[in-house]
Amino acid sequence: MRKYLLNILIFFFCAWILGEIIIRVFHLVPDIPKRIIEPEMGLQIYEPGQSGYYTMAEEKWKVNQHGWVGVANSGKKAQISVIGDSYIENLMNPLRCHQGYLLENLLKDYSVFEAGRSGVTFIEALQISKLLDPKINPKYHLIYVNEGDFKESIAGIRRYKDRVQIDLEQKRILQAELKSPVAKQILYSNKFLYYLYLRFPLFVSDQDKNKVVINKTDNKKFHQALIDLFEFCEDEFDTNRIILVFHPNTDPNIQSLAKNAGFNTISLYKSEEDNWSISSEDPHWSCYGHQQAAEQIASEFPKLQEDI
Amino acid sequence: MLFNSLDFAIFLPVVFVLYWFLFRTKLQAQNLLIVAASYLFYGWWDYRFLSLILFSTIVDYGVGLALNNANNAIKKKILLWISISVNLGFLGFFKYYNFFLDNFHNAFSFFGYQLNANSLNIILPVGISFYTFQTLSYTIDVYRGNLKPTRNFISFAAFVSFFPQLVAGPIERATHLLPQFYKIRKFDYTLAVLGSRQILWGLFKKIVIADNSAEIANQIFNNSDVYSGPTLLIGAFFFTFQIYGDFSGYSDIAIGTSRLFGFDLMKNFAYPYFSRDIAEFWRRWHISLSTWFRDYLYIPLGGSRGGTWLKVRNTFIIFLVSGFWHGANWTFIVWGGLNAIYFLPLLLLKRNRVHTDVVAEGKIFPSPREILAMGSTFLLTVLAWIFFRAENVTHALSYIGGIFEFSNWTVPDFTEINHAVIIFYLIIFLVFIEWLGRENEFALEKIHFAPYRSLRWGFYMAVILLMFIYTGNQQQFIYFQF
Repeated sequence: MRKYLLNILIFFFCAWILGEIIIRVFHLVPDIPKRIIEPEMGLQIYEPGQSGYYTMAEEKWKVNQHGWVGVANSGKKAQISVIGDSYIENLMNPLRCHQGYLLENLLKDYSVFEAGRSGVTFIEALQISKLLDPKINPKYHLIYVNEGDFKESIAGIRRYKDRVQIDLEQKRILQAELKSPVAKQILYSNKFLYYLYLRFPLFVSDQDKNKVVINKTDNKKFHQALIDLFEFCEDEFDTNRIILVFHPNTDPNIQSLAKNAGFNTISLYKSEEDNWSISSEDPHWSCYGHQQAAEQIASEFPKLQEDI
Repeated sequence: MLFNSLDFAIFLPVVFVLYWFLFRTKLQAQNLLIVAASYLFYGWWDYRFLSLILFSTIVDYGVGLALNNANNAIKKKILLWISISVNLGFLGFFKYYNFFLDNFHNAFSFFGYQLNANSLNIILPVGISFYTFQTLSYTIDVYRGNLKPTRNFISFAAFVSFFPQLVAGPIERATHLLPQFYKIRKFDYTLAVLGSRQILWGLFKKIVIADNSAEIANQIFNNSDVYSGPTLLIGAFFFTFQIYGDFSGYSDIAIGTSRLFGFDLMKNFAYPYFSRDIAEFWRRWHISLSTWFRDYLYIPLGGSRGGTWLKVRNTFIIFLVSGFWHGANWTFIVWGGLNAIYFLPLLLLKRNRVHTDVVAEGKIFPSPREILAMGSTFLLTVLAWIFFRAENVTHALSYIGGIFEFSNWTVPDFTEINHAVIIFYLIIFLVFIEWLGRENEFALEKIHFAPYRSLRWGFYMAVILLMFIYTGNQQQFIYFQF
């Protein structure tokens, strides 16, 4: 019995080491940068100067001086910022599949600055736009959002301590805390463990349970919260310079309320058969998905410019 | 609880440690732990149906003891029929009620009568066909005098509910498994190592081969009207490996897990796709079910003794019942009937026992004749599996019609069929390893190509790596529904 258990333990230890080596050599998982809280607005950014690999790519990402990864160019006639969550952070795809890279190729007059980080809510994206204004002074902010980003912005629906949210009753933005930084560091440093975590989303069903589900009786409450949220945004942010890019299938009601609040909007669309996702387990956009999104934005952008 | 789930990955080591560290010295404690673990394993899926297993256990335990005390043949026969009625009654209700109702309904409608009975929304208890047959084997063997009934209820409950094979077999005979619960199990290193290897190979078959093949087969079968003949053939090919990987993979995990606990289960698959004729295929596919029907149905009916008519009748009965056992759908019955048609010429020409040895035994390569025989048998089974997979008989016929519509033969577009080429290579890998191991109980029993431990471990790690890279979307085991 002892011999058997010992052999099993040694075998799994060797398998673990081998897995770790393979994953590191082939960059099967992305390196994840360490977060810090920036002092001005209390937002989570990445510690500047860090670098690591994108998934299965030879190229490295580097955290720029402002605390963001991805495309950070200037020098063309004007600059636009691209703000969003993990879809924009996009560590799972090489740089050539980033919105910044693709949009720069499609919008010849603009340099792009990407500011993406997983977990960014709608209200935090707006805060980021405020943070970027004095630093890079973009002409427009492109903020990529989906339905969940609005629900997760409102603390009254469900409080997430690790996300920036808004308390609509007190008209106050609630800052986010760094959630389990040590546990995350262990997970991200142990590539094999992180690979298993990503590859086999064991906690997906639990995550789904935790997702904010709005039923019909709550719909009115959510609708009112959205009206309040957009009113707050109108007062606090320069909505005229912000273009909200809605993910495909975002609730049209949210889109029309955003328009009424003075936001410029672009609605991405895709057919049922069109697959933008990396895989069935990972809904993040693949290179194909990013290309489709960028092309749609590039075709809508000139029309918006005329209106703005 | 699925074998290929995180739940089972936690459950198994916990039960294993409890079994060998805390319960290893007392037989009753070992058996009690097996019963508790088995009920947890089954209840994880739906605890309500535990009562069915418990009821079946109590009835058959009682009938067994009563048979022992019964002093005349009539009383014994009544007791046997009580057991058969209870077990087949449950099976009939849960599995076949709606099927019979629908067919009666259609038949009456055909003759202009309206039948006023509504179908019921019945959930089929997982594995009911398996444990029903297993408990039936107990009462039949006690009735025949082949087995002494047990007085130990815990041992009997452990035999009925033994979790590794509870929901999808192998369907054990009481004469083989029950006595193993009478003596204390001692840890056997060699057996545990073999069991671990068999689990690994079973997981590979399920996770890599079956689940990935399922995605391709589902895509093609679900859209069969838009695909050309060669693509339909590819769909049937992938289903052929899906069902093999799924079911033989489950059996490997079940047998391997049992070995970890010191039990020996019967072999359920013996490389059926290397068969040289259909008779050999049926000696190698789902052996525990085939032999169950042979022992408890075919032989009592007269078997292959008697005249030609009797042989034909018995062959058809056994294949049709076997098909019907798989599910309440005409597709399974047609599948069974088709296999009977394949089998009959061999039986009537007395060629059904020509291939009882291992193909190309002691050689690396088969002869051209053997290749031809294996290839033609494989094609026949592929054709039959179409009925097994199709939604209904019409779908199966149109699918087969599509394959043979030669005017519509175009080169398959693999870009439409996700990663089909990679899965094809993985199937080649499976076939290669199984070919090398075909003289053994399971493919990895003796790894001759890796005589050193370092090489063996390297091979295991490569298999694990393939599982990580090519994990298909988790699918329930096909045979759970049977």
